[in-house]
Amino acid sequence: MNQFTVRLLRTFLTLWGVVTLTFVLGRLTGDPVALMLPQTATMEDYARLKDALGLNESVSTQYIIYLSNLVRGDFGTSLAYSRPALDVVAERIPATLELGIPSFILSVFLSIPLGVWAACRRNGFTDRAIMTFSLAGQAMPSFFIGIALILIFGVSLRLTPTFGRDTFAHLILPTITLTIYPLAFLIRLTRSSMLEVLNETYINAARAKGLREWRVIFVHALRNALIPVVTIIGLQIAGLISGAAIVETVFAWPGIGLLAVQSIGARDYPVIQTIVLISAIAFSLTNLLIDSTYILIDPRIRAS
Amino acid sequence: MSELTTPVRNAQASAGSPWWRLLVKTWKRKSTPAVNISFIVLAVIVGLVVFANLVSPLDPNAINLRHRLQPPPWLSEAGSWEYPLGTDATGRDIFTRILYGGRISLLIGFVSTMIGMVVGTFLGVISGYVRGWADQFIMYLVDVQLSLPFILLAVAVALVLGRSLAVLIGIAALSTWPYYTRVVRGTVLSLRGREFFLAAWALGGSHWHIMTTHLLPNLLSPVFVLVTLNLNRIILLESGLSFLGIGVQPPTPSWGNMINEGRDYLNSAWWLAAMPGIALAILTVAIGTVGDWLRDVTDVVTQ
Repeated sequence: MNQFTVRLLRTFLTLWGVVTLTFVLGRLTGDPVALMLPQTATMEDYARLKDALGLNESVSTQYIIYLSNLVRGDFGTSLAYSRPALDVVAERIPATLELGIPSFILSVFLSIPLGVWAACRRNGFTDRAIMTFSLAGQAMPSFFIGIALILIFGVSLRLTPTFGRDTFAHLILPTITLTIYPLAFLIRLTRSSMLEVLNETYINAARAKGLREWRVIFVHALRNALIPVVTIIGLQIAGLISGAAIVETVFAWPGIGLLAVQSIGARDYPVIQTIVLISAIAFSLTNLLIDSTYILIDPRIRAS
Repeated sequence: MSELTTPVRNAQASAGSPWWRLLVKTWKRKSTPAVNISFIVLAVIVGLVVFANLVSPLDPNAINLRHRLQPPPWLSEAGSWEYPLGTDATGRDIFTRILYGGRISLLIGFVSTMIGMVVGTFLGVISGYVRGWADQFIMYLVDVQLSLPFILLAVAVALVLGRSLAVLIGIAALSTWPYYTRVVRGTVLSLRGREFFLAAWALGGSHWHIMTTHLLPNLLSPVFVLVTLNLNRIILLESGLSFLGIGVQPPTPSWGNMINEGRDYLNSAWWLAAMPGIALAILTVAIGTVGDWLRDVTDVVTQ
C-alpha cells in the first residue's frame, strides 16, 4: 500500500476511536436519559425521550444508529438550546478561530526566530533570557497569565478592554494569553532542534566552504531543524483548542471553549460531544496534511 | 509522527546502584544555582503544605464577615498581620487557604502522577517487549488520546461521572499515561538490540527475569524525568479544571478555584486571585526547572 493510503486509513481509524469513546462516555452513566432530563421532568418525559433517543434498542443497534447519524451530520440535539448541537457549535466556531488563528501565527512566527537566536547564542545572555521566558511561559497556567494581564493592562493601566468581543482591542489580551504557552514550547523545541543540527558534519562542511554564517544558519541548518518543529506545530493545535476553553472563560469570549464550559452547568452532553468530535476531526485532518507534506518533501521518510 | 527513541547511556553501570544514589551523584556533579534554589523552594513548599495545621492556627473555611476583603498588611494600613495575605470575600484567611489548597494540589498531583506512571510504563513495556498486535493496539490508543483536546475530554468525563476527588484524580492520571508509554516503548525497543539484552535472552532468561533485571533498571531515568515533567502538567491541569469549576469543589480550597473566586474582585481586591496564582507559579516554575535539568543531565528525549 502506498504511504498516503496507510496514513489516511490511520486517520480514519483514529477518528473512529474518538467517536466510539464519545459513544461509550455517553452511555457510561447507565442512564443517559436521566442525565439529559432536567430535574423537574415527569415519567412521561422520561419515556418519550428514551424512545426518541432509540435507547430501547440493543447497545449494538444504538451504536450503529449513532454512527450513521454522525455520518449524516446529525450530532444530536442540544438540550439547552433545543436545536441541532452541530448548529449551536458551528455558530461559535468563528469566535474561536478569531483567537486561535492569530495565536497560532504569532506563536509560530515568533518562536522560530527566537529559538534560532537562542541556539546561536548558546549559554549567552540572550539564550538565558529567552529560555527563562520559555520556562515561565510553560510553567504558568494560562488562566493566571490572563488574569494578570487583565489586572495590569485592563484594571491598572486602563489600556485595553478586559472581556467580551466587541472591538479589535478586545482581541489583544486573549490572543496574547493564548499565544504564550505554544510560543514558549516552540521556542524550546526550535532551540534544541537547531543545536542538534548545528553539530552535524554538513554544517562544518558548509562553514569550511567559506559560506557566510547567516547562510549556514538559515539555509543549511534551519531547513533541517524545522522538520521536528513542524510535526509538533501540528500537535499544538489540540493544545490551542484546550487552551481556548480556559482563555475564553477568563475573557468571556463567546467561542466553543466557553460553550463547552457553559454546557457543564446545563448538562448538555450532545454539545460537549460535538465539540470534542469537531476538534478531533480538525486536529486529525491538520496532522494528516502535515504528514502528507512530509512524505512529499523529505526523501528520508519517503524511502522508509 | 516521528519514532521516539531514547538514547540509553551507561545502561549497565546504572543497573548496579540504587537510583537515588545515582541521582545524588548526578546532582553533586552537575547541579546549577537555579536547580539548587528550586530544590529549596520545593522543600519549603512541601513543608508548609504538609504541616499546614501547624503553620497556621486558622481554619481555612472559617467565615468571618466582619473581616472580609482585607488587603495584605504589607500593602495597606487596613490589613492586619493576623491575615498575612489578606482575606477573601467571606473573610477567610487567604494564607491558610493557600496552604490547605496546596495540600489538595500536591495530593492530586502525586497520586495521579503515580497512577499515570504505573499504567503508562506497564503499557509501554508490553508494547515494546511483546510487539505484534498488542503494540499496534496500545499505540492506537495513544494516538486516539493525543488527538483529543484533553481539557474538553475532561469536561465531558466530569459531566458524565460527576465532580468528585476520585474522578478528578482519575482524569489527571488519564492525561499523562501516553507520554510514558511512548517514551518507555522507545527505550525498550532500543534496549532490545543491545548485547546484554540479547545475551540474557540467548541464555534462556525468563521474560519475567529479563523485564525485572534488564529492562526496569534502565527505564528508571527516563521515567523519573517524565514523572517530574508530568507532575507539573497534572498540577496545571488540576488548577485549570478547578478554575473551570469542574475540579476541586468549594468550599474545599484549591489554588485553581481560589483564582476563580477571585476573578469577581479584580477591580477591588486583586490579591484574591493574585496570591494563589503566584503560589502556583512559584511551584510550577520550581518543578519545571528541576524537570528540565534532569532531562538535560540524563539525556532523555521526551518529545
